[in-house]
Amino acid sequence: MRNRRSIIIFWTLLLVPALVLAGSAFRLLTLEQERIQRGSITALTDQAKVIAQNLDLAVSTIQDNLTRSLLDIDAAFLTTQALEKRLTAWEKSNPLIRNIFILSPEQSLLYPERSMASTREERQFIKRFDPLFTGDIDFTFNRPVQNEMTAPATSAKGPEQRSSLYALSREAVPAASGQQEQIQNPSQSLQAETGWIPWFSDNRLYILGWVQPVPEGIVFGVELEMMTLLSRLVTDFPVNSRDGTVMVLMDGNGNPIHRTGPLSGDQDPAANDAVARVDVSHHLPHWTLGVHVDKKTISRTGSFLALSLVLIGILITAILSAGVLITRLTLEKIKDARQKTSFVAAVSHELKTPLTSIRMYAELLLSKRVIDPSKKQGYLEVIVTESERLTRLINNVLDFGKLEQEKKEYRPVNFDMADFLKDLTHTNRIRLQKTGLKVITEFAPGPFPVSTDRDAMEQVVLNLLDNAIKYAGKGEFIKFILDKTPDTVRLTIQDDGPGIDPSSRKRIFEKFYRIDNSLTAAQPGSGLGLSIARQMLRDLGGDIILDPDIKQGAGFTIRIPIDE
Amino acid sequence: MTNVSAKKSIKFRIILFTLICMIWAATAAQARTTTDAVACRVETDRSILPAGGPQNVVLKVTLDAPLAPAKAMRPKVNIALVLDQSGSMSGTKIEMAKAAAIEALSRMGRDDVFSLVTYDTNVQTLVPAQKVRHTGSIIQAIQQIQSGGNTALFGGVSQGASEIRKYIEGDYIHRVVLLSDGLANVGPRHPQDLGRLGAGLFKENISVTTVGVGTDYNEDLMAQLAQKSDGNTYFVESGPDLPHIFAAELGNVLNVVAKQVTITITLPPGVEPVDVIGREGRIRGNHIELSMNQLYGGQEKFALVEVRLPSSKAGKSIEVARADVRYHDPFSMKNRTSMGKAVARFSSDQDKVDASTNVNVVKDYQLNLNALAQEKAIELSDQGKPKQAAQELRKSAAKLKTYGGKYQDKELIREAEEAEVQADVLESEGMSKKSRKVLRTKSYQMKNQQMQQ
Repeated sequence: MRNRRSIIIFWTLLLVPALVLAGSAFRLLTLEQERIQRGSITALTDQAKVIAQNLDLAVSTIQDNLTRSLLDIDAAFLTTQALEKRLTAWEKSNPLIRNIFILSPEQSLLYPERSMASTREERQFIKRFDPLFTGDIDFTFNRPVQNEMTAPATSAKGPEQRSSLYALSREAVPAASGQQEQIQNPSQSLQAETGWIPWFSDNRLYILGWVQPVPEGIVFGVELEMMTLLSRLVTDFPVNSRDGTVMVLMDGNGNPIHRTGPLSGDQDPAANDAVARVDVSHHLPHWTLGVHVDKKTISRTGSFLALSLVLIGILITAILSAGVLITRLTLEKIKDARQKTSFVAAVSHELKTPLTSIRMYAELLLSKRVIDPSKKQGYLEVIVTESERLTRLINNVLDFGKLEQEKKEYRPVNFDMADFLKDLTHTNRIRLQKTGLKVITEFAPGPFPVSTDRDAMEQVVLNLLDNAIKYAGKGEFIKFILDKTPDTVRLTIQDDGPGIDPSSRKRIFEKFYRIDNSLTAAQPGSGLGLSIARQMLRDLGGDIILDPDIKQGAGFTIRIPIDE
Repeated sequence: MTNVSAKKSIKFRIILFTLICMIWAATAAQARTTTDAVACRVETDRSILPAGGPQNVVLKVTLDAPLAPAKAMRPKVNIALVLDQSGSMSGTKIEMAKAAAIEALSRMGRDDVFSLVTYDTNVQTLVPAQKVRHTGSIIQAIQQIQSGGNTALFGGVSQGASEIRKYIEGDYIHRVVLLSDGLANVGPRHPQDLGRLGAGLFKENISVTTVGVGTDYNEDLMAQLAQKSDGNTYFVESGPDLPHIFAAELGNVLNVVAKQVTITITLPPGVEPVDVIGREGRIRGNHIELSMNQLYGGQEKFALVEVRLPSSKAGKSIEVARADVRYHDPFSMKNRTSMGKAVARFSSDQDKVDASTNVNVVKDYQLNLNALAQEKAIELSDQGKPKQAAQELRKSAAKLKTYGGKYQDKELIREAEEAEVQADVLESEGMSKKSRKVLRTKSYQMKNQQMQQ
């Protein structure tokens, strides 16, 4: 008992740290995953910031370049017509320019005209920016105090490819050919006010750039073609291929302009909150770059976590099952040892009883005090019976040893079961007569030829007979029923004794097992008989079963293959 | 011995090769020089005008593109195919689009440039702009297209244009072909925005041809994009028509005989510009400027302009307008010009005036007005006024019918009947998605004289 407890204690000692380790490993893993997740969100946010800065830089560079181009016109030295010509030519060829305008110092539009001569686009343009053109709003209304645009120091020009957005914005205003444009010497230093206005009309963003040379007071400028700008910005947008993330550029109304990333877009990214949102540029007011993530897939440690969990699970299972295994083995050992001890005690007792009888009667006979021949005869019979019992017991023990080591050898011979049973009952008639049991034989029409080890068979039947005599000795009869099926010969041995307790029925064929009740306690036994009987019958191709539906007493049925 | 003969044979081969080269160069040169110029005609709706007070006259400036020279090398093309692979395209549509893309590819030559962009929620460049040398890998890329996701139309077209730009300096005819069956839901999605994108691309000589599939796409957007960039627009109701449309479009592109066409109409003093009908034009004082990205071989493209003439006396003859056409000839690689004039006489004899009616001008004018009426009808129907929309169509139909009867013109009568049927349908069932697309596409094709299949 103590043994078992210590096993459990040691096992618990092993299990508890293992569980603690597993738990903390799991916690660490979750923390690590969260950290990685945070890390990737931070990285994405930083990336978004960089992109936003680049966008801002791109837009402001374009605006600066366009301003330079406007300044390069030297409008102060041009006639209005020449200026108009150059600007319209520019608008016609440069995709970044949507519209152009020239405003006289008296706040009247010189170009485009407020008449049907203008195209629809130009009329809409005038309508859009009317408060500026009528002078209701000053061009400098959005000017931060410090943002005085100085004339450019450099102006890169040359046959650059138009495919680059910057090159496009640097493209100079084409000179109108064949006309005397310049009235004065342009080498004078340039004084001009400039600015860019993000303008909302009909809830849409338009961007207007303007220049006002100081001496003249004329204002002219361009409207940026937002769609060309966007189209170029969108194609230069860095590709985000990180799993489970998406970057969405949104305009001031929250409409997605561009999105990049593998996160499935079936759900509206505007709907779920962005983990980070960066304002793009003051040139594009209210535009934001949002980072959206699917937290489940963002960290690639998902599979690592699963693997770790599986490993921890395996560890715990191993510890648990090892503990269970060890406990079971130990318990079985303990049980075996106990059974062996009781077996030795039982066998010793079994050996001692017949020996005592034999010795007593032998001594009596030897002392020659018994003169009555009938008594002598009785004593001798007892000695023979007891030695037979001793022989059976020793045979059983020997057979048990051989069976355990699988060294038992069988010598099959051909005989008839009916004859065999008749012989057997005849040899044991004295024992049976003594118990007062009536022997009933019910033999079906024979013959019952079998080919099996006669001694083994005898031992089996005798073991059953012994049990019947031992436990059902107070009954009325013992019945031998013999019949056959096409394949087997069946022998049933029944008694009308107290029978076998249902709870023990399953275990009676186990070795060393003895039913532990008042009846068996009174009788000596090794607990081997049925176990040996079953083992031997199985070795011989037959079997023995306990008749399950017998009403009174116990009954066993032996099956042996028939020998035709 | 063998050595000598080998040398001889090499010499012979060199001579032969030089000869072939010379012949080829000669024919090529010949082919390049024999391209006909684009003819420019300026006509008024009546060659004899009623004398008297100021009056409005319709001018038709027609450009007759010559047929592409059969033997000459056709101009190289730079095509970006932009395919919508959003979820709605799945099934026959995407399979047919793929077949169409492969069909288009098979018609391209070794010096043409091809690129393929697909878009759903994101934009992918499946085939970056490259000369069509290894069709195998391109076809493989096309076949791997799978549908799913949203429609980032703006991004797709932008990416297509960006692929075109890789070869923008070369002497190509640049074309983005957009195929979509859905609404743009990522990126700018307003028709006006896409129109501006088209206008920007037009300045880079990139045209966008739009092919709308099914009845769910935004036809206004597709039409605007095509119109502002001077591409074509098509409405395909079901997938199986796609390869046919692609073939037709590519046939057009491969058949370009003039690029970057600008028409400047100069009006003499006293003649005032009133309006440009159908096309986008710019009126500058006494100049009217129109531009087109390209003319296809054998095509007739025209512009209708309304001008106001001063009062004049009978018997007098004046020049009404003069049109100068400038364009780039892709065969000779030179800029060329062409010129046309319209002269009108005045008469007080009404019969003479009526007899001088130029049926073609009147017809085109009426058809263009009908196109405008169709647009108006769409607008009214969108505003939830199907009755007025039907009325608009009926009014236009009645007018067409009158002119059709007067000049015995079957086309006008047919158009009138179609317009009446449309009006009936509109009144009884309202405007279906399909009929809206048919109207929008037809009106576009009329206004821009898109070649009919």
